[in-house]
Amino acid sequence: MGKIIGIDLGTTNSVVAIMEGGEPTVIASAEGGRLIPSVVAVNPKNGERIVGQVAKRQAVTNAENTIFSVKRFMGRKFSDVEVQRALKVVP
Amino acid sequence: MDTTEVAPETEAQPNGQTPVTSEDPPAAFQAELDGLRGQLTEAQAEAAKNKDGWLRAVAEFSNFKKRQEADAANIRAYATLGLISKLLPVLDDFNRAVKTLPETLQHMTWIGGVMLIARKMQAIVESEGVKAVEVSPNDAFDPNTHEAVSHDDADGVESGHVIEELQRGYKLGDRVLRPALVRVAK
Repeated sequence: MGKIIGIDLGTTNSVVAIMEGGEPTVIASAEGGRLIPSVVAVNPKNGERIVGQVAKRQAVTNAENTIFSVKRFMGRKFSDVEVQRALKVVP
Repeated sequence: MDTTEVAPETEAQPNGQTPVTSEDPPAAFQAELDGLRGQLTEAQAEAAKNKDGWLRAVAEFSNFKKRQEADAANIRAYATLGLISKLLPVLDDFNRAVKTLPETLQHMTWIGGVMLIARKMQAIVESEGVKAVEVSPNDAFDPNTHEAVSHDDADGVESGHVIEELQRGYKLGDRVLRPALVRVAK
């Protein structure tokens, strides 16, 4: 019987909670926020993965390696019509 | 009749009389024994389960306490964060006003007084431990403390470095209250 963790993977923000004493408790991120932006990026210089608020802050400078609203594309193949259409519109 | 199982009191008495026995005591005794053994096994299993549950609850409680203590320490350290965050735009406005003070008014003592008010507010915020995020042109862009507002061409600025700061950022200890808004060179 391990710890139970609940993840709300939202299109724009995600929230994580754990069960403690039978009640769910939301976990705050390292920055102190309980809502974590659903943004993921890779630093092209060192391959380092960046997530959450920090990823959002560098999105403008690293647009090619930053993904947001990934939930809209999950489960689809890159060649899908939906994905290709979004590629043209989404940064 | 198998006499080896006979209970001592049914052995032939010295006076020669053999007492009358009812149902075979050993069989009834055996049944009761089996029943008790079964109950014992069940009870032991339940005891083991209870003990396991209790140990887990104790461990969970200890984890919970640790988390509560960490949270309480956080709350104490960052209690004023909320209010200070709301006051930051006021500081921004004062800074902007100071920057754009028209030359003709610079010598006015009244203006000097207003500047002192701005400085007093800055001092109060700093006394809470809030510090400005230091960023100068040509610093490396750091998404931990800066937020890129635009990605522009700029001569003389290395790629991935800050062109200029658009809005001051603030941090309280390790935590970033508000990142500095910057323009970054392509």
